[in-house]
Amino acid sequence: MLPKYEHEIRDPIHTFIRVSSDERRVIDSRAFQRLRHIHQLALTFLVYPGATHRRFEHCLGVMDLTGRIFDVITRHPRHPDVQQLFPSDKELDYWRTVVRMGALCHDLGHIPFSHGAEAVLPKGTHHEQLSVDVILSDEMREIWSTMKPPIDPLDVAKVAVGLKDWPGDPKDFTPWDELLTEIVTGNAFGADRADYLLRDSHHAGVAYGRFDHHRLIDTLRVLRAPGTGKPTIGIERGGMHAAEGLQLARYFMFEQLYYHRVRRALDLHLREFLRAMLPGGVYPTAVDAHLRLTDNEVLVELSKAAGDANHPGHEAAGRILSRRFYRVLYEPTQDDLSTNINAVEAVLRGAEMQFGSSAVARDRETKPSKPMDFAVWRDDGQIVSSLQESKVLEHVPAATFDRVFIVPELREEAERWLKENLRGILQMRIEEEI
Amino acid sequence: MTREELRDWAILGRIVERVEEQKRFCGETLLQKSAYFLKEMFDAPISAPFRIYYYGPFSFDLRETLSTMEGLDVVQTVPHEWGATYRIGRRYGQVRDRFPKTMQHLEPAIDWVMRELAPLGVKELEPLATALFLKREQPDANDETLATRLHEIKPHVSVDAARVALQKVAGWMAERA
Repeated sequence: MLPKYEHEIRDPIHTFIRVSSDERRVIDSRAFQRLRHIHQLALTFLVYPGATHRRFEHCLGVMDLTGRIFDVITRHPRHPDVQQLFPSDKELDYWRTVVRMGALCHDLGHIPFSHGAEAVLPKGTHHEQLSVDVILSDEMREIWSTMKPPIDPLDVAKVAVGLKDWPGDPKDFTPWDELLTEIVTGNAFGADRADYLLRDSHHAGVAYGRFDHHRLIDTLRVLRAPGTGKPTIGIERGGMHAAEGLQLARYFMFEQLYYHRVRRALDLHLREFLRAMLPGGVYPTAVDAHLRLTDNEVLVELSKAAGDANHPGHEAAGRILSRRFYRVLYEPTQDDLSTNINAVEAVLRGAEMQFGSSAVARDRETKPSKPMDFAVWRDDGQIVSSLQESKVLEHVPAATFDRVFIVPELREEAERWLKENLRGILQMRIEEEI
Repeated sequence: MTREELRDWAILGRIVERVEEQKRFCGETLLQKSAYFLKEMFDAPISAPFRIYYYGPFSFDLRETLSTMEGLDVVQTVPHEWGATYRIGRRYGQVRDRFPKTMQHLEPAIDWVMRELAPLGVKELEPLATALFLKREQPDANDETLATRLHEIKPHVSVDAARVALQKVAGWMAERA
């Protein structure tokens, strides 16, 4: 029996988000309420003033979309090749609760300013590890154990962080677990991605993140991937335009918003500030210490540091609050890369020698977001790759960047220097085997 | 990019180049499993760490490396009915030429990959790579124990098929010894 949805929450993206009493207990927990004070897009509100929304409402939205996707893939006619993967209808009720809880809790491990500050976590630690720690904490176990039926917090944790970031043994994941986590964190159609594109677009005031998510969700199906035969979430052919819309939305949002040069420069200063502010320069990963830190504490300290020349974070705080942040000195052209594929490294080294390493910084995204290859169930019954079926997807470029920044005081001088020396710098082959 | 990253690109690009020369499908699974065999059996300097999943050894880092290589046109992907197939990009030569010693040293190992792995499909590559993983993880265990273990990790591979995969890998390891 499906849980009774007794509560409604107004939401600018999904209109009403309906929650059960058990879900409300999770929402009312200290760990979840903390997300009211974690900005979804870090310091992006200093560039796009409307982008002040928080992880709290995003997680509610992800839960809502997750429930809808789960219902579509379990209730619509199933492809015969994957029928045996599905548990019984009675068990599906349990898994529906688990997958919505996993979606709700997927960001509990985010540190203040989310991705913008993640580099201050201890080496090798990611926020997903913290999400697992919070879900499995005594405080949360108390909530899980009193649910009817009780929920295994390990099931929730697996769904929340997914296979890639699972801190335990990857063999813990069965194909069914992988499908459930794909609903939430999947690269192609994950509810996390769908919600953040729609929500970030709405709040930032850029239209690029919108796509026909209603149509897309209605056409999602569990299929075996062509080539590997692995069970995965794909689409019916009729959802192809909506899927293409999602991929284009993602590309535009990365180019316009997530990789915006000022936002990325602010991230660099924020990390520098946090390293100065935190004891030992590292974020505390014990659950209680983590739950006590939000953007609020950091913003108060930032303001204090900007006004106190003796504060160790004074320089970084001043650059953020007085808008004296890094400016872009160099981004390679396609011609530059054809001359030297490591052009940015060469310019960085040259600039460091010329202006000192404290005046220069490099920022790059080495994980370009490229269009997804997913399974498509054609009208003739065949399952094929999306790249075979779509004329659009193969042409959506990867969103990626690699930049050298300079402090604004030296910008003009550095630009003159670069103009005079770029050709020579690009001839440098610093990584060559001799 | 660091020297290690560029060297990874040079090695992966060379596999793509050779598979393309053979006019075969070069999907991600082949690249993942080839890189795993090169690293574990031939000590190739591939920096990506591999973990064992339901579908065998896999590296998310390597997936990201391929994605970055594609973003910089070191490799390209083209549509195929089974998914994207890799082929060499416009800037691969620039990367390859920086590592002449590594490439020369690894060429016999890549010949082996072309001979033994490139003709295989996903369903054959997965048990073989898992067999190698188990042999590295439990070097003292006998094949019967490992076959049972392989079947536990990958229930879709029968114990008999697991034995065949383990024997094949044992043969390859003996050739290398």
